[in-house]
Amino acid sequence: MKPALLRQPAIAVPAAILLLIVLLAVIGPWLAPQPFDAIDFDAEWGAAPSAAHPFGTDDLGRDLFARVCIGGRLSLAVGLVSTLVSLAIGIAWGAVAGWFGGRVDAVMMRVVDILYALPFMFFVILLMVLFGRHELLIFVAIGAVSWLDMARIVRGQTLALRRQPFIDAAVVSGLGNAAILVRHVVPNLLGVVIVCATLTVPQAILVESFLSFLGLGIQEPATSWGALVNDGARAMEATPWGLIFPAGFLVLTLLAFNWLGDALRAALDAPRR
Amino acid sequence: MSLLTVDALRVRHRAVTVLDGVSFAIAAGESLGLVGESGSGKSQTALAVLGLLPGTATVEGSIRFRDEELLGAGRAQLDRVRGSRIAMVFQDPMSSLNPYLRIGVQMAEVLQQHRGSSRAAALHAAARLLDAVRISDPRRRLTQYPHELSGGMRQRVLIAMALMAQPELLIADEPTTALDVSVQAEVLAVLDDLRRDLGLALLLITHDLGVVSGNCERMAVMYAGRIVEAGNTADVLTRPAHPYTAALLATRPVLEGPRPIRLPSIAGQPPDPARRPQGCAFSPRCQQVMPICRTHAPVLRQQRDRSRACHVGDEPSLPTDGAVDRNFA
Repeated sequence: MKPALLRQPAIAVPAAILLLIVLLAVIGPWLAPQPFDAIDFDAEWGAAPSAAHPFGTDDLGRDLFARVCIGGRLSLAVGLVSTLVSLAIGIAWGAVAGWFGGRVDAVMMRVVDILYALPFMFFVILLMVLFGRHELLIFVAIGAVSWLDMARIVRGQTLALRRQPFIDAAVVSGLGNAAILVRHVVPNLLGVVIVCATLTVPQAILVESFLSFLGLGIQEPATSWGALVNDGARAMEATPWGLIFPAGFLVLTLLAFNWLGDALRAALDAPRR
Repeated sequence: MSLLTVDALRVRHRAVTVLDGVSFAIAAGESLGLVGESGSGKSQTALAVLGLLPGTATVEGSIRFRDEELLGAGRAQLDRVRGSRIAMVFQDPMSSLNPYLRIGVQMAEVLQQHRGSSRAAALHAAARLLDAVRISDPRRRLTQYPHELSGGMRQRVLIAMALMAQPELLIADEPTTALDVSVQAEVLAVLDDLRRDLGLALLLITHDLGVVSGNCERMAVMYAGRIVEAGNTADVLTRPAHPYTAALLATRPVLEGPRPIRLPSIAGQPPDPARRPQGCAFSPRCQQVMPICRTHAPVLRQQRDRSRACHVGDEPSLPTDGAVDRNFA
């Protein structure tokens, strides 16, 4: 990426926010006064934020700051994995379908349609029943559906690109399908792909939060922002900070990703004239 | 022997016939101008030669490059010929370069593909060619992106790019239409010099008679999917043998003398390819139309060094619709 991009405030600001959040998730647990699953028997349960516990404690007396940081790790990891999956499978699938067209396209896109039509919750519950509850299943479930949007968008863009003269020029210069796809088609999808990817991250984080909120996701004592919000929501009259901090981080992250995606799309549109 | 021989080429898009028996040949090192109005089938001819027509088109006839039949050839065979032996320059320099790749990378690609050259060697060749098409500071241009270059420069980059693998035949589809007149002259001069230097054969597609007269040894005039007249450029332009060519020449604006109030034009419209008239396609607009023109389509026949497809001036005993004389080339 060009350094010039970071000089645009619309990109630099959300990027900086995200960097801070990631940094906090990575090193935060070491800064916290106690491990995320340890109970502070000296503090009262559900203590308000104080010098000892900057975000307060939860109803078991665990440090909320440590838990928000640890929860951020899982939420961000889910976002990252689903994005990598959607980039890898989604781009390849969509570009191949759009480029070759005809029967190849029809078969590949029907596969996507079928996966789309599958009720997501049913799919998750089925996985849980088959393999038992495991953290890995969250990643599998979200990864399995996150590339579908990307594949559809990439296919549509590839269809449009195929009519561009410079693609004809590449064909006429005798380049093979693979070379044209890798060097001429995919780079020109960059703008759309980045936007789609930045929208995939918050979507995946939300889905994970949703699963955890329903009790299908992460299990105690491990946690995620979604699980923390769930816990916090139950006690929000008595200890609002239990809801405010994880929800605040969740909202801030989603906002920053959406903001970043929008700004990147505007910045990366190749100047054509 | 001819380099490229196109024989009785017919192209149909579903029920619409866009090329109806086009035949011509280009010898090595020769330049042929293909002229005609929009919709006459010039570009379709070029696309057919390069195998670029959509898969839904029906193509019949024969397209031979040296001894190799290109029509119906597989992708692998086409890829060996395209780019390395036949190259093409497209009409629109603005959209014919990939906006995300540096000029050098796009140019080098062709050599890396066809000759297995290293990137460095290919870039070296690219710089030499940019110099040949008179682009200043070629080394720096190689690192630039297409949007940093002007239209005229981009068209010259496209020409240089087409020449990377030293092809024997260059097909240029309206290479100067998108450029303004002064840049146009410059680009054409570059093209002409290179052609002579490299012994390149050129198929130049244009609607501009001036471009043909300056750059092509021979020319063929197309109308409604057929070649109606072909011959030496100077001959055809001074002594047109087909009423359409004559009418086309009459529409050229005259610079000397009093100006006409309206620019001359050919009355009527070119026929809709889906509803072509019976007989000669030009008959509804022809000043010299005869009864036979409306019933029998004339056949392209060679008379001395000129071929034409017209009944006017023919001996009256020849209303044949039979074998096409393909030896005019």
